[in-house]
This record gives sequence, structure tokens and C-alpha cells, in this order.
Amino acid sequence: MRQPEAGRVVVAVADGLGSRAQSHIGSQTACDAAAQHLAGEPTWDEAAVRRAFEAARQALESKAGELGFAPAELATTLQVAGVGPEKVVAGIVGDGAVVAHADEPRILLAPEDMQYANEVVPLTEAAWPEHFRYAELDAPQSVLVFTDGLTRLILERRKGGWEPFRPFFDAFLPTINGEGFDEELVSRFLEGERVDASWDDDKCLVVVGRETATR
Amino acid sequence: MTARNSQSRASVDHSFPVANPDKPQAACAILLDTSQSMRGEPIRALEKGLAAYREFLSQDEEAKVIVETCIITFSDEAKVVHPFSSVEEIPETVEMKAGGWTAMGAALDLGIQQIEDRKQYYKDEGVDYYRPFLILITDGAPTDLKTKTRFDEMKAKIQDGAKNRKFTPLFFGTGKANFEKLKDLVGESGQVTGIDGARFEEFFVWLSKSVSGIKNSKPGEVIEFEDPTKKSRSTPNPFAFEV
Repeated sequence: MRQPEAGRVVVAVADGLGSRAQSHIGSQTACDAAAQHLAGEPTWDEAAVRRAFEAARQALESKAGELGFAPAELATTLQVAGVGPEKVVAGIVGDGAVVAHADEPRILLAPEDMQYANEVVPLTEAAWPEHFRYAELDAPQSVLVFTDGLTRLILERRKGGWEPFRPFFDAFLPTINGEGFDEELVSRFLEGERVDASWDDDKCLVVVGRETATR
Repeated sequence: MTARNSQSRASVDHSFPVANPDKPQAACAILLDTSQSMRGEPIRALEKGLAAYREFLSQDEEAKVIVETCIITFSDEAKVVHPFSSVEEIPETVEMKAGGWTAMGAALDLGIQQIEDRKQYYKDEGVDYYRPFLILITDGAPTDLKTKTRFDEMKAKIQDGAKNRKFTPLFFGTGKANFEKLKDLVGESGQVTGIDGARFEEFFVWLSKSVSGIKNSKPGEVIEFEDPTKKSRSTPNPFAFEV
């Protein structure tokens, strides 16, 4: 996470593929490079977000070379969001999702539809540019960026596609859009019994909210 | 703007309401030869083997909610004797009668159709799923794939299905099976293994272990069964042999 200036935040979340031994290094490397790059972009738009992904991809190749591994050993997904006062810009390669709240929760970027449950296209694959997706939304009140381990818990897949799981957002959003964050909110949610036990994939959630004028 | 970030740690009983998603499903269509040559001891061994498969998977808390099994038998014709369900819904004893020809082609058509229907059901219900398994067990040779045209059609159907990742074909034959024909049908797309017809129980326990292994798969991982002929590098599995 980077804060290039007051009122602007860059968030990067990555989920290393469990089948690859060095993916924990890959996820950290991709997050650092993407967040640093987007924070330095003067204008946030699709081209800037795509360049942040290219920077992350380049960093993965360099890191793999430095450590003597094939880049595929650092395989990771990547979700990046730049949240400013006027709009949120977001990009994704792989699974996980980005949800923005502007009057009501909206899925900015849904998990990519793959044929099977254990399939994902990571940033280390040559075909990643074809799987890169971008979205933006004006004046969000809050933004949630999360990994695949949470998608089935706070999103619902219906015939028409993915939708926010309303009972969760109806309960969660008022707590982050009030007079400020509860410091332990996200930890408590992730440590909750049902979340912790319900899915064995890694779970990571970053919440960006707008502080009210009173605080 | 402010932000908070955290990763999951220990389990504490506190949560916001979350969805209760189904686990991804692993569909496994098992096609069993019940032709005349399976009469007597072989068919009883097959029944016992199937019961062992059911029992093994039922005891695995995670696998039993992931693996869905469909049982198809084939002799003069192919029929679904148990549609896709969780393993606990399979009767403890699936009684089978042996007799007639070996309609393997009809069974493969039916198995592939059942898999496609189940995948559509998963899509309609919004349930994630793994690549299904098409498992064939025979002691003979197909009697309904005698013309070259029909044989080649079936061969293309299986090999294209495997190449396009629609399912994973795994074929098993007992001693008298026509392994050349089985290998010709599968080609490079799957595997053909010999098994001892008197040791179906051990084979089905191996099969249930292999199928349940999918629960540990991670995104991006290619699911491959271990070589059934080898228990470990130095120890052979007594029920299986290379063909």
C-alpha cells in the first residue's frame, strides 16, 4: 500500500500460486513494484494501471533471474487499485476481485471466469496482457480489494454473473463509512470462525474508506 | 483516505454475515463392464470394490463433499445405475448382473454426456468445479465399435475431449482386456493401466485416494494421478500392472 499524497492511496494485493515454491516472493515483488509504479503516475487511467502491471511483470522477471529461478516459479495473481478523491481506477490479472461502494456496492472487477476451479492465469504467464482487465468508478465512498479466498464469501455467483453478497455489505459498509475506521475491523472479520473455516485458500482484504469531515 | 490491511490468523468466533458457498465439485463418471465374461467372481469383486470406494470417500470429511460420482454399467447396452451424487448417496451395495455384449462405445457416449450435463448444472447453480474424470473399467473389448468409422468417431471424441480439457480419461483393463484397442482409443490423451480383477477392492481404494487428492489442489495446479502401477518408486502396487 502506498500513499503518494494526502487523499490518494494505492493498494496492491497478490496471491501467490500455492503450487509454485517461490510464489510468496512473487506476490510480494509484484505488489511492491505495481504500487510503487502507480503511485508515481501523474494521471490515473487505464494506460497508467496497465503500466503498473507491466512494471510488476518486469520486476518478477528480474527477481526470478536474481534468485536463479524460472519466472513461473514466482507465479502470482495481482489486483491493484488507485483510490483518489474523484475516482477509483483498478486492474486485475487472475482471480480475486475489487468492489467499490458508491451509493451501493458494485463489483468493479469480478473474478475471471475460467473453465475449472483450480485454474488461473498468473502475471508470470506470457498471455497475461490478454487477461488484464481494467475498470474505474467516479467518487467511491469505499473500495474493497481482496484475494480469491474471500470471493465466494462476500460475492455470489448467479446465472447472470457475480453479485455482491448483500447481507455482508449491508452489515459491513456502515461500519467503514461512518466517523472513521475501527482499527480491528478487518482483522476481526478475517478471524471470524466462519471466514476462517469456510475456505482453505489464503484470504487477504484491504479496505479503503473515506474519512468524514468530523474526524 | 485511510486504509487497513490484515491477513487471516487464528479462529475467533466473530464474523459479519458471509455467503455459504458450495465447495468446488469433482465429477467422476465410472463406467463398469458388466458383460457376460464378468459373470461370477469378477462381478462380485467389482461390487465389493465399489463398496470400498464408497466407504473410503465417506470417511473423508472434505472429499465426500467435493467428489460427485456417477456409475454407468455396460453390457448389451449402457445405463446409468446411479446418477451424479455425493458418495454417501450411493447405496452401500450396488448390485450388478453380468451378461451380454460389451457396449463400451455406448457407455463412453453416455459417460461423456452425463459429464457435460453435470458441468452445465454446476454452471447454472454457480458452483465451481474441477476437470471431471471419465473412468472406464473393462475385461474385454468393445463390441459396438466394430466398424472403423464408429471406432474413429469415438477415438476422436475421447481424444478431443481430453485435449480440450473437457475431462480426463482414465482407462483400466483386467487381464483379458484388449489393451491395444483401449490404448488406441485414448492415444496420448490419457492413460491405460492393467489391474488384477481379483483385487478390485485395492484398486478402488487407490482410485478413491487419487480422486480425493483433488481437494488439496491449488489454483494453477495440473491434477495428475500417481502412476497406479507404483506404490512408491521401489514398491509396485500389487493390483496394477503396466500394459
